[in-house]
Amino acid sequence: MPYCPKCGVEIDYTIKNCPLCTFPIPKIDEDTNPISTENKFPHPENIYYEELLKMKNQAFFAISILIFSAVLVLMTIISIFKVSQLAITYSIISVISAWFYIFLFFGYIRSKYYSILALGFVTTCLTYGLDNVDKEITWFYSYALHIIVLSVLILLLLLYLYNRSKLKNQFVFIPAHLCIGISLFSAALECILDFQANRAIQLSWSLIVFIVLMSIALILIGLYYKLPDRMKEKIKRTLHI
Amino acid sequence: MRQHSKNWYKLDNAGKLYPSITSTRVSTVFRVSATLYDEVNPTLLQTALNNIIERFPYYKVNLKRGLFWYYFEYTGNCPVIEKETFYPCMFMYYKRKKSFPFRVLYYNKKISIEISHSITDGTGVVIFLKSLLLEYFRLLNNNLCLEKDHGIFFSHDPIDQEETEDAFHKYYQKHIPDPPKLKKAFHFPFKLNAKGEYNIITGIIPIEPLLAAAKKHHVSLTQYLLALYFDTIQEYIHSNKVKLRHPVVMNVPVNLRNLYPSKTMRNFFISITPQIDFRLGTYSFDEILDYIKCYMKMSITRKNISRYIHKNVKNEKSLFVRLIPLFIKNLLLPVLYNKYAERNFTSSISNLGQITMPKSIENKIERFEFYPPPSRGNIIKLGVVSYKDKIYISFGSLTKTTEIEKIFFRKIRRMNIPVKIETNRE
Ligand SMILES: [Zn+2]
Repeated sequence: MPYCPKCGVEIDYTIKNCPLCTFPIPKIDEDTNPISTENKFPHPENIYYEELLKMKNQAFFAISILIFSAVLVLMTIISIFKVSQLAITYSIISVISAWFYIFLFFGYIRSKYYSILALGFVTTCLTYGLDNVDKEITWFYSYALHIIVLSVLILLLLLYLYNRSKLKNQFVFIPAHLCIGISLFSAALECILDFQANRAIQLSWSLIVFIVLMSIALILIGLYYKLPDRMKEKIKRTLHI
Repeated sequence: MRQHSKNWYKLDNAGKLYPSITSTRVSTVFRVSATLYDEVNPTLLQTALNNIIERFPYYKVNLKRGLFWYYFEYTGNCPVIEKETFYPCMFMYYKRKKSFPFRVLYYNKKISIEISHSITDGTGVVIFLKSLLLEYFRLLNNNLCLEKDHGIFFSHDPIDQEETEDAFHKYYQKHIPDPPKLKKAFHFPFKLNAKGEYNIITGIIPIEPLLAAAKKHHVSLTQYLLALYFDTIQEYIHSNKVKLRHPVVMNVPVNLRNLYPSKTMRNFFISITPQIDFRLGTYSFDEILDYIKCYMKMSITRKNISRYIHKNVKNEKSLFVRLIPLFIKNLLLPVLYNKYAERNFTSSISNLGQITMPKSIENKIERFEFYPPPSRGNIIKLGVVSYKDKIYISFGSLTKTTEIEKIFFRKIRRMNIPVKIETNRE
């Protein structure tokens, strides 16, 4: 029987590293030992993900049926009563896009980046549809599209930063990145609103938000990366209890 | 088949807790398995199960929700065996319709029963598994000559009414004081596995030299293993310079059928809690052994145990507790369980003892194994069982770290006792 030179314990032929200390097991000639080695355990599957998926699928199926029947009811109302078509069209568009949102929210798209892009696409369709109900585009091109593009870009950026810093301190990086995201978003949002309203850009409230949140983020990251040991010691000395 | 006057029964005092605290990482499901020398025949196993389950009508049930408590409802369906695919001791959706509070699994040469603690303890399931194995071998070989005894039920045996009793209630004394309260215990600072993963490391050790070592110190095997485990944790703390804030407390379930004359096939155990505070200094192995020997002797008496039974049953009987609706109990109990139970233990070690089988089939079974239920509060636990000339010590662990297992088995190895390691780790 093979054994681990460090622990001195016997191990099955199929195992490459010692289960106790991960030390690589020295190979011995298998022909000299006619004992067959078969797996004592199946290659284990994780029941958790399977059960989770099952529950998710059930919930999604139920929601889909609900939404489908809601759309059906609304269509029937239009065709029978012929009243206030406008309001009902609004509802139909919202209900259908709600289905898409739930689809995305349930994580059926594996990649988070594609999820965000799809989210932007659905929102674009929704806003276009809502604006187009009265056959007249008023706010879609001027406001909605810009804000959607902006949000998608910022979300993608945040996700990218989050993935990169995943292995570092979560208590520093998640708040810092959120601060960066919100400050960028508010600044850009005010730009859009201002430009569309006055054809001129003059930042006011977003500037405050931007400065406050950005400095918090920079302080957090700065403290994390570059606090010289001398400073750390000084803080410890002054604040020790 | 027996006629039931009513088609349901209450969970026992210990079992009442488990369905409410079940979650992904706290499955409250444990496994006892037997490995044969030949490949398992699934069709025969299913027939054997169908036959033997009639002898265990109190396990042929589904868990149902009442307004205030869960209860078990007898069912006409038969449990279906499954091929093992998942990690061991995973949670069950036994609150769902038509699923049993246990599953019978097979894989190559191994037959396993995974059972929820809500319905029985280790003793109950060992009798169930032994009876199932016997029925399986009887089907395999018709002219098998079988002697009685060994704690095995035959499918045609009459059912003793005492098997279904809630022994906690039977031996409850009203006017006695509570046991002393526990304080927070040391916990292993290891990183948790992903949900749904449970790692087992089993050490297979010849029982003779271990017994001899225990006999030399005039202790039982359980006490000896307990001392080894304490010493392992001490070594881990010292070699890793772990900062200790709490004592090391071990949870050791005691089978009360040895203390009280009950034949119940439901839960009947109490946990006793030996503890050593390593902040007081380094303990020699003999000191640890002495402590455990004295502690066990003082703890495992009917007088001492009756206080624990008193406390558990009193809590259950309290009108206030009974009147809380089930869904609120399900919210509160996990928190309380953590605060009053798991938080106060470092780990647990549970020994099912020596399993014996009738001579005629003894040599058709290679071994038995016992895996403890995974729990988030005590991420490493020990299940021990012995069969014939070997002892099977299984660490069930919710972490990738194998430090404790490594120190433990190296200790045994240093006593010049051979150890074989098996694992489900990749
Ligand atoms: Zn090793």
